[in-house]
Amino acid sequence: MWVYDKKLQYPVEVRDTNPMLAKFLMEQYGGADGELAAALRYQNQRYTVPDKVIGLLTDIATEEFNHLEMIATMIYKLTKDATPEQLRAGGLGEHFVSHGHALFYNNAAGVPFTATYVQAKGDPIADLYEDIAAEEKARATYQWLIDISDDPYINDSLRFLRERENVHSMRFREAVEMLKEDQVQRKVY
Amino acid sequence: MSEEQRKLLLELQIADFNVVEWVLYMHTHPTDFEGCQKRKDAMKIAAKIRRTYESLYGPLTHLVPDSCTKPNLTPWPWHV
Repeated sequence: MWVYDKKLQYPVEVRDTNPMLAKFLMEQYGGADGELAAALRYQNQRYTVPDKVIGLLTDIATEEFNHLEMIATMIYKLTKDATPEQLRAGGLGEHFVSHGHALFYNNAAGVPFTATYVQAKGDPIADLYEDIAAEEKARATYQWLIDISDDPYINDSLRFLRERENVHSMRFREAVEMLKEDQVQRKVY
Repeated sequence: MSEEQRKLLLELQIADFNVVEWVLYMHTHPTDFEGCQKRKDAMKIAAKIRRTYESLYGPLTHLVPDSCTKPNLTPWPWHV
């Protein structure tokens, strides 16, 4: 089970209304390499990986939910005071007529989230390589977001999130090596 | 949210982040004795700051009971 902690992992400061930036950030909310996909991917793979990597997948999945909440906070605050005209000018007219000011698990192009964004192969090496690739893709997405955004406060939080993808990727790589060592040892016997 | 509360919340965020980093590290370095000690120290520091914050502003989780007389002053993260 999980216990909710009433705070963000890292502060999110939003000064201005900016629907277009919110739309871009939806790539990390409901996109293929976004935080929802990441959290669900690791959480679901936990059941069929060797015992020694269950804890890592659990804790990284949990951290991805923290990141999802940070992204949601950014999108919410960037759009909460926007008029329908501002939303339309920012590319969120279609979003507004369907969802009003609510958030939704879409990517930046408005495509709804789908379970096909995540994989579970039941093979620990295949799954961990998928996870490493997912972290690298998320890191690249954060870089493109930072490049396209001119909001220094949002960019500060995005840089934190980008660095977390690096750390997760590194931990997954170490986990692969741990499993490979085990395989080698088994061959000896 | 007052400036004092914001400052203490940031302190807790930093301390909790330190814990997360050590926890993830120890998953892939389970025999690192020094890391294990540092993880323990990080948790102690974070717990102390959390107790101070919650005694002043109210519980952050349902693991700590709400006061029966004082209102909970911890905001939802997207209301900060």
